[in-house]
Amino acid sequence: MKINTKLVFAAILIVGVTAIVWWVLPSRSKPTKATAVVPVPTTTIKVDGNATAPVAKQETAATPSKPRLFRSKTYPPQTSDEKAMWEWWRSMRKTDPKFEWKMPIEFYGKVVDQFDEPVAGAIIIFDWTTVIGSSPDPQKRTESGADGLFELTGVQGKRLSVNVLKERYIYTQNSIGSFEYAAFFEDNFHVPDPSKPVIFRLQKLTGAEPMYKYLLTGRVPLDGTPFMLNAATGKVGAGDVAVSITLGKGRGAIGPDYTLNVQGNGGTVFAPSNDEFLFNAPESGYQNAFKVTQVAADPKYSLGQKLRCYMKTGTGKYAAVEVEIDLREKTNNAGFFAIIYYNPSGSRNLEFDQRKWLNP
Amino acid sequence: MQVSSYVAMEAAVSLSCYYPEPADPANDPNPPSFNNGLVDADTDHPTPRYASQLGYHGYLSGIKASSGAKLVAYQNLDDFWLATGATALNILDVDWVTNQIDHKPDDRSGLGQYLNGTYSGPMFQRGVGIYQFTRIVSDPHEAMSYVSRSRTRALGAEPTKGTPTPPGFQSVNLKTIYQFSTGRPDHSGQFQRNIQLMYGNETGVPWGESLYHRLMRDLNVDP
Repeated sequence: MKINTKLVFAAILIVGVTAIVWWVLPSRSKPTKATAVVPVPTTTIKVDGNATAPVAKQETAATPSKPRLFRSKTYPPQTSDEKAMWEWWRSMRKTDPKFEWKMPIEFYGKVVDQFDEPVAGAIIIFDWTTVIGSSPDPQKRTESGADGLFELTGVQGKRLSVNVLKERYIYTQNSIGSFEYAAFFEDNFHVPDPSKPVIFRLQKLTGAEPMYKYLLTGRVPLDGTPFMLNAATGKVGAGDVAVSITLGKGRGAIGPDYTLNVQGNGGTVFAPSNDEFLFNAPESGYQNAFKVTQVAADPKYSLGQKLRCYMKTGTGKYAAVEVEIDLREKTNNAGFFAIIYYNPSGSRNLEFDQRKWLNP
Repeated sequence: MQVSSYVAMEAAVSLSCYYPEPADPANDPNPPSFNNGLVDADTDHPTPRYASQLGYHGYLSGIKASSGAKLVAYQNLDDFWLATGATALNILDVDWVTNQIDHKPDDRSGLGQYLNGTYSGPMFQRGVGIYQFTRIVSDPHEAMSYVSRSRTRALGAEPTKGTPTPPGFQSVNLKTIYQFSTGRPDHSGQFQRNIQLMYGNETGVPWGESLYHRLMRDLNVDP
């Protein structure tokens, strides 16, 4: 009985190993037009005359030489250069399905502040995806030099993410980036050029004052009833700001026409802004109400609205307000969310530094 | 079942599912953003495209009208599993796009294969000669899993430059708002990231709104 058990286990093991070998050894890729794969010495890839690096260890006799790569969104390819890139792409995929993760990565960047002054000593975090090395998602860190410049060379991969940080600076939309090194048809395909470093921007804190930061949530009825809030205290239910929503008659596949109204009471006024940072409240240009209308037939129609504005209260204090509203017809109200940065001093300086946060 | 909130977090669902199937494919007034690598793969091995053909495009386009729910997509264009990752082992293709390119239709070695017949459409075949068994695939879930290739990236791996959010959706750009990256922990980062990074970046600068706060709000749960 004992021998039989061993035999059964041995048989299962042999069948298992055979199945795995059968699964792994034959190519599982689709039939291709490429000719037989023949080993060749390590080859190199060159991007726009820049760095070279070893990549594939085998190549088909039919693999075309690597053309100059540039970003191209045209498909099917029209020009001879585009056709050459696609021919190379298809051939490489058949030759080495992992070639995308073996591209040489070179990157040149520069960190500046909001005044276009170079930022030295910023932390640069590189993340990329690769099949070279022990980890498929490696990370490397460096610092920007006195001139704000930094670079990454000597690694291989497909996608590079660059994130720039520094204490006493605030991240911006331009302090993080994504760069593709293989798929030339992607929007973020990147051709490195040391003479044209990619610019990353950080917002330098220049003199923040003690501020309150409030996160407010609530529901705005869809029947025009105002939703009240107080910017100075961060309370909802009563206050100097009234937000209301009225529905229109039109209706599309996504939702109804609607108008969002913001009204100031007791001398409170607003100045809508598209600035990335609402740090410097203007002296003038305020109005005591504004509204946003959405028409269902508009291709850009959305049930969600984001509003950003400066605010001056009836007592002469300033605040920066970011509001998000999303309509929910099922519940007959809209979700309301606001972040308010309120300076109790009366200064127009609304720069926010978490170290001077009065109500953390 | 009543759905009030639909939050797609780094969703491995074809973006094109949420776009309406056009009456005239040559004149789509609101096309999704196509990935030319996927489009090119389909020229070699054509597969169904539209929901009416058992493809992806349009399959979930009525979700807003039928559910009335708030739709939100949490997206990271560098997501490891959806768009940019790979392993050193050649037997494993790990990212969603490569899977769509290389394994549609799926030819599971030794276990039969899926095909897209010129006239019959999606079908499954096993065995050879007189022992061959063929079955027409008529279930859209089976077709989308094994035969139909998406022409777009996954919803969770957008937005690429200039790409609109699907109709009716709001979006949360995890990369620019919460600095998600290419690392594997950032896929499902809401569970796998260091908890401190849900509230601010490494230098201590807080996000305007923490990720969990945002998520609760999108789920219609008052924080």
